[in-house]
Amino acid sequence: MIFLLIAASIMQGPTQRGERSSSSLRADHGEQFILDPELFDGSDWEGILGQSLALTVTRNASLMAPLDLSWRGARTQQVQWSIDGLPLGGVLGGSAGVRSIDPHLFGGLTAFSSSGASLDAPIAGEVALRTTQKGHRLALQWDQINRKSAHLSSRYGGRSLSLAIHQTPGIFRYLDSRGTARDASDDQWVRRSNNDARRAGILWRESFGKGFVARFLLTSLAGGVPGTGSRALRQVREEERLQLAHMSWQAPKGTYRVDLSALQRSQKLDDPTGEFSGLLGLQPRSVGRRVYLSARRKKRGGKIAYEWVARSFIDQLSRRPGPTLNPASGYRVQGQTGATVQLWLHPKWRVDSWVMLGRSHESSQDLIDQLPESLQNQTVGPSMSIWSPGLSLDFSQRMRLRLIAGRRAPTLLERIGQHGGLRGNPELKAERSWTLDFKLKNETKKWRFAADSYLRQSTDLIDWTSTSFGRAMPINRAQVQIAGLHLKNQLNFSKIKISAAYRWQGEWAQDSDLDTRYKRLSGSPEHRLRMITQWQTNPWKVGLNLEFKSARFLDAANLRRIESSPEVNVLIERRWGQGWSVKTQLFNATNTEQYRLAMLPGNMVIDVPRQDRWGHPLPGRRLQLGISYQERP
Amino acid sequence: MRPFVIALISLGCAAQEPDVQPQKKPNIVVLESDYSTGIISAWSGDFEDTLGSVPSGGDARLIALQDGFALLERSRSDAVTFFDQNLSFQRQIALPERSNPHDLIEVNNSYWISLYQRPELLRFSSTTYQTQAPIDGASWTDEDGRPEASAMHVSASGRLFLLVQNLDFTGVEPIPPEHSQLIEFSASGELLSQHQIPSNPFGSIIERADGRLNFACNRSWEIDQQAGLWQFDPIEETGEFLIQETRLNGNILDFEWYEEKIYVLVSNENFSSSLYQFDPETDALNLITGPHTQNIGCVVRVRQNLFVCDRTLGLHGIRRVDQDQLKLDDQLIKTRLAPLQILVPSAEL
Repeated sequence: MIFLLIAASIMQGPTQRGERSSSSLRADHGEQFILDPELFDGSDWEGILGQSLALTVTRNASLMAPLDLSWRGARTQQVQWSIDGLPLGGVLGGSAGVRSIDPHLFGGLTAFSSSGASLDAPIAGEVALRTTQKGHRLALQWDQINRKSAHLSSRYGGRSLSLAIHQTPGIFRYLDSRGTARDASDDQWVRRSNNDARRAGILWRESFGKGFVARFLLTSLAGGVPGTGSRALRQVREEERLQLAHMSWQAPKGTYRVDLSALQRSQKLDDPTGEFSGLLGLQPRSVGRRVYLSARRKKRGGKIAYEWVARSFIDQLSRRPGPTLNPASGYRVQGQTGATVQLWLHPKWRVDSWVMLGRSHESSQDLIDQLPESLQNQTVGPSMSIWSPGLSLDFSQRMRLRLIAGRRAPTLLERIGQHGGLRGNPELKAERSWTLDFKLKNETKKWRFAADSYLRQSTDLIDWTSTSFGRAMPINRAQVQIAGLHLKNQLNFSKIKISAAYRWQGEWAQDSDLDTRYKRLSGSPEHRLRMITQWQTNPWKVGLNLEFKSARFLDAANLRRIESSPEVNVLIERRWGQGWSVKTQLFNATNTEQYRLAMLPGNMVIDVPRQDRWGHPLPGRRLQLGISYQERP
Repeated sequence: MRPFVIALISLGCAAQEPDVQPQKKPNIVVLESDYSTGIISAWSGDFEDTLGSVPSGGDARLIALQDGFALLERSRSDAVTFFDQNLSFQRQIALPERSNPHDLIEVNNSYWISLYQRPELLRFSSTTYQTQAPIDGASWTDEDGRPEASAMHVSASGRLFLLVQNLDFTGVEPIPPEHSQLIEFSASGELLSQHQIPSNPFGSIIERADGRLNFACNRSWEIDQQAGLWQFDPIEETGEFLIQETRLNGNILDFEWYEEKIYVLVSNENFSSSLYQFDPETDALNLITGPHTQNIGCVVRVRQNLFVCDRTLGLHGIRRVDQDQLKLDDQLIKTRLAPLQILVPSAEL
């Protein structure tokens, strides 16, 4: 009987259960994230991405701070963000620009580590957002430090609309060392200032039938740029706006697909007293634009499936450093093509192989001429090649072995950005990496287990590093080796769910081939452990989240080691009727407001405010109340 | 897999400076920095042994005092920290936010601190660290309200000098003025004179035996006829360029006198560095040739030797200048971070 079933399976070819017609062939390489997670502060990206220990999010102090994350040792700009397959990197700022987009505008998020869903094979991975919504949803949230958010999404047939607003005064107390780390006698508790932010967004998705779908996204973010705890910025303000129009056409079953889009991101920074740069005339305004076109052919047949994609886009960046200067512009043209071939060796054994080749050409001399003279040196040519091959062996979606390589050219922002504290580096070289990873997964009704191990070597890794006066600049780090293990275990009983996750990540970074002192990447702990217990009996749900992090370094030289206490989050939820619920969550229940900072060498330990990687203070205990309605179709 | 194996094996093999507080007085101290974080390392002899190291800010300046050291920290904080001769911590004092301290001198029983971004000179008691009345700098401050005051010097005659750049920060790039200033004070803090000097003085002041002062004036990043190493006589009010940028093909980053010759460190147009030996008597200019000269950050005389800070990424450290061969030693005295300053404690001088 078993033999007959296997034989029938081979004859008919494998079926792809649950696959969307719009999905790429490698869609099942990704991991689904919940956009409204419990026991994490789901009001922003930090809480959503923080669900996975694989990702280290090192910003959560201000909506205005660029999202800063590390994924298997790869850095923020190496993460490709996409909306329905549309890449947001380059002039749109990638992960940095995502801060202006409210996560609740979207219907789903899939994370692809070390590779992408389709053509892109970014070194860190791809965070793929989906615009499709399910049913109607309304949620309102308020917390103890007066952070308020509301989001509404609704779907009728082929039309869906999402609205989201988020507002925070950003006022909370923190310990200010007044810049004298060695002298605790003058430390004082002060209130965070210039930390307010407002964000609003609207996403409209319209399906016209016959495979035509249009999406329009408008977002706006404005607020204060507060600076670090001991060196606060009092008057620096920033605004960012993003507009996106995206039209796609898809043949039945997704055999053919064409995407065309136009995007614009505008930024404005006001620094009236030159706090950020010291230069009173440096009040930068910039506009980044992208026109994008891609085509895809996907075919499944018997034991083989293939997908071919070609894309091209033009990024244009226009920048005006100050009101007395004329704007300068530059552009980058990039073309890429790639293919994925999926071969079923056996009903349970599958091989995916893919390759992407591309080339970019840039014209940016006018923008480089606007940089300070000390940054104008460039030995890197205007054209760069990118490539990424990959191979995956998959057993019944329970075991997967992958070998992936990649070469990424620095973005326009990384090469010639000049915005507030961010300075581009025209000397940046393309980064290269290879990754070997192995995943095991087992799932029964009551038990889920997953183990993920990985090795990565990056050459000329592009890493943002803080420079003097609170500025940041990308540099190439000659060699970075990463090794990691990520274990997840979940037990489901009738009323109780217990899950535990642990991640170890070894990092060895060298600043040149001759560097003999191996360092960890900044902001990245070696060990992370999380335990979640949830008890549910209708209409109540109670949860507890415990998280431990080992010490991590704040600086590239590994001379500032910060240690934090375990964090505890608590959830109490009451449900009513067909979809209403009231949620009370307590974040940082132990009210940790200080971390221990060891200043090396000598191991002098001092108290510093609880802070993110860049020294932005974080609030203490915070109670969040939320009411939501969710209608499932 | 090979890189991983090499990395793992090498972890225990990397030569490192001892991460301990020095237990005896150093003969040399080095400020090492990547501009984000830094350390002060202590060395015996002419870099024979490392004695230990202590933390420092990344953007900092170290000053040798009669009985220890002062560390001016800016960028992430504005503070001055005092250490004794063993680099043991003595005291830390907060300075006005964003004042950007640049130099410190000892005057009688006071410390004077020059501020790049505030129109005043701060003063503290060197015995009690109590604040004393600052010296008002309104008269030497330009229109943007920031004087860009930098190096200070106590002359053999007891008069005090302060270099003031007076750059214009109202635009999107600092604009050098037509002339900068050298401010002269009495030891009691009385303003004696405001001397006009070529634009944009940079680095430290060296006093010659005859009382004339030497300092670099760079004007801008461009190579300029009116820029170079300036020699100024504050009594006669006369000055001249010992050597101009047009001969050096770059801006002067640092210089040092040794046996009647000047060793001049230059930032080239492509932002690499060059080191020259210049004889003012004969006007002979010799390039220190060979490898290791591309990323030099300082040149300092330590007793009978000249050393440079080699800031080559990943291969940083201290190198000796072979004055006979006019080259830098291949042997690298390894430091943990790239060296920024080399200092000889006052007691060693």
